Amino acid sequence: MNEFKLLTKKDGWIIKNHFLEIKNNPKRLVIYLLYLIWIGSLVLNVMLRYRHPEETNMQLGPQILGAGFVGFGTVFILYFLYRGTKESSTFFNMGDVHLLFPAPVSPKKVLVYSMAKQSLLYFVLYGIIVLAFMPMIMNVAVINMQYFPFMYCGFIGLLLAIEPLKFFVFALGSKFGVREQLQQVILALIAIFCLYLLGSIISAGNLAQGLLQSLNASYLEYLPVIGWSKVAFMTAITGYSTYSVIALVLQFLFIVCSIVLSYNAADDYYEDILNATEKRSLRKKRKEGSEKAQRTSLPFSKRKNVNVSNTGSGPWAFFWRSRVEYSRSDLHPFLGLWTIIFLLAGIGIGFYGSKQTDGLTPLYIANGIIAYIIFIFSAANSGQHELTKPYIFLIPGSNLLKIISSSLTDIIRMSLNISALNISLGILLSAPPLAILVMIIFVVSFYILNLSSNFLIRIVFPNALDEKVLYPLFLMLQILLLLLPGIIVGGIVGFVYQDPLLAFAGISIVNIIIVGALLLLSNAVFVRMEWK
Amino acid sequence: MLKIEHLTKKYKSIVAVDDISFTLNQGNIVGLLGPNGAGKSTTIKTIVGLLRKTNGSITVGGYSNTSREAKKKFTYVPEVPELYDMLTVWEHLKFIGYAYNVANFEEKAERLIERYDLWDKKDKLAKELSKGMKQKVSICCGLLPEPDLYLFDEPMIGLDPKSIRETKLIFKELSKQQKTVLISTHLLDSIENLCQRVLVMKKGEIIVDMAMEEMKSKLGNNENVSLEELFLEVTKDE
Ligand SMILES: Nc1ncnc2c1ncn2[C@@H]1O[C@H](COP(=O)(O)OP(=O)(O)O)[C@@H](O)[C@H]1O
Ligand SMILES: [Mg+2]
Repeated sequence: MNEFKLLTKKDGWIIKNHFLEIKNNPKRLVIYLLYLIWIGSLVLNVMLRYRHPEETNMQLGPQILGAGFVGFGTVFILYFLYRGTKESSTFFNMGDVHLLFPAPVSPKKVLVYSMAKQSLLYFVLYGIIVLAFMPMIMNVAVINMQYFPFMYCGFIGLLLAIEPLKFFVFALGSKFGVREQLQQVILALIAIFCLYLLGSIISAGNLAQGLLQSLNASYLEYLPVIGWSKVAFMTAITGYSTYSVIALVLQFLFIVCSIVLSYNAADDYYEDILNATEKRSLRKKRKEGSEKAQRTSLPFSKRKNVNVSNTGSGPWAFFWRSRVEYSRSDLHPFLGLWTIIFLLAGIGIGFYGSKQTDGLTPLYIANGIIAYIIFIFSAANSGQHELTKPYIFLIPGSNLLKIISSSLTDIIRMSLNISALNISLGILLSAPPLAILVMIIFVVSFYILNLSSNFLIRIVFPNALDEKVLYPLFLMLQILLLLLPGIIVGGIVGFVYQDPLLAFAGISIVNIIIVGALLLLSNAVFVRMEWK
Repeated sequence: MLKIEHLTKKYKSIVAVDDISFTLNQGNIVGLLGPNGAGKSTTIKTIVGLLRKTNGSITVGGYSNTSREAKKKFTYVPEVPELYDMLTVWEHLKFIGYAYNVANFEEKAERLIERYDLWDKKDKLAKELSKGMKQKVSICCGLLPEPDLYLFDEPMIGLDPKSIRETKLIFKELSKQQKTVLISTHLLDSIENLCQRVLVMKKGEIIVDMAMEEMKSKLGNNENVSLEELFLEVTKDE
């Protein structure tokens, strides 16, 4: 049977099975429905704004958008090209590797089919990103909806070019053994880009103006990929010209060409994509909560021999183990790259914030954002926990100690990071020490509550883990429930006394009480827990 | 049937397979033995074409191993079964049937899944199967095309006793049909009375390539010497 027919058949069965699955288990519809509602609300939002355009008095809006598009786009493309010299992109899954690749099929046809399929799929899926960005775009510029398709295709055309390019670069590198040379070329491109920006900034004598001018320069619009997609993207904002169509056609021709080129460059790419495919399937399993995440290690600390002294026996083994892992993947068991990032963020926000206001608002906002990010990540990274391994159930010892020792390293690290941010930020804002302390306790107690959710979910929704798609949703719901009392109390206190600091203090106190109660209940929690 | 000459495979700087050569003739049932990390899986994956050879040549029935003609002549059962999550058991067999252009594959597939007790799981999605069941499906997929050369990487791992017996029976049948089979395994007793020849790998090299008879006679022609003892004897560190 011909390859295309074979693969279409297979994908047809897969689609059919997805529908059957929904039919047999209508609960799954909930998650799709939520997605639909979300997308619907995005579309509605865009439409409402379009009907009642708020006065946009940002004269620089279009320029900022253009510069942002070119700037981020270039960084993106260069980054992925560089990655392409180290690792291929993949259009396959492990099923393909083991069942399709050994079969007598043409690797080239398989590749073209898979690339084309993925591109088509992403053409639709990436639309969500465009929709999500729309309100922000409409805030700074007036959009002519007639040319929205140009905007859409320009944005997506840029994204679609990335994976085939990355694949092509890797295929070239491994086929002709020119990986190092390619790397140098890409590094040279990066250097040119940086020099170009630097030169423009210096000649304009002003950071913002230099960036805006250099990134919007008209000759950049003739650059392949970046320039073309920018022209198409900006059509809906700055107006239509014949070049809009030409640029759009060129961009999509480029994508087709890079697929065709990959087709020609690749006849034995099976090994190239093996690593990336394995990683992807591991990532997928991890998302479903069945595999523990590997900590990505810093390049300089790979395979370091670590020597961490023991602090106790029994359940304290978990504490030891997590310190070993962190010292292998980071600078220090408790301090790391994130500490530096938090410190720098604190200093940055502090400098900027102290110029803008006299109050503590930047402190509150920064911590609020961090709490929000912690919340999102703990719902998304459900698999990253000792509970996915059997040892916590097997090692003898007190359950309370097990819970504490398995989370202690994470808590200490988070506390140190948060302290780095708040102390530097607080000093720069000349905040009273008490306020700094309250903010640290607020975020840390928030973090601990999120951590305990990993334990709780296994008794509150014992079947949640089987419902892989719904699991993050359950987790998020549960975390919200846990946080609710604190937020209510904090809200009331803050409202009555009109002091945000008291609100944060209120939330922290309630959080601590809940954590304490959970710890007291740890035995009851543990006996009901199952290893899944 | 399978001819390997001076095959070398490196992963970056690690030499996983170091200049090995061997030939399997039609009708040979050969065990590929060796401790963990000896390079067995790497050898098989390179023959299949999932890995590029760093050096040397591999031909199957006279064709280079990555050519379409060669691929028609062999099937591969991987060490870890990886299936398409969203295909049913039956659809996997159909997919293989189409991919290898197997004549009457429905009939053959039915017989296979009955032998492996998968009949009631026929319409289950692969992601709902246990690891052992996946392994069974993976073996069925390897058997369905009835090629000339079978490459099995640890096929017995995770199988229940009945399936192990069934697999051994199938190997015997393949031997009668003059098929060529290369089985990598740790379960020495599972191939003890099956293979006419064993290859023992260690640290990427083939340290023993002998007929079973010869091997036994070399160690004193003692009826009671098991393959396990032979294995431990030849792979022990000096
Ligand atoms: N993807 C890989 N990258 C680097 N080294 C590998 C990889 N796969 C296997 N190896 C190394 O190659 C050697 C042979 O491995 P393998 O063929 O899997 O052994 P066996 O199947 O005999 O147990 C081992 O030393 C292993 O560490
Ligand atoms: Mg192996």
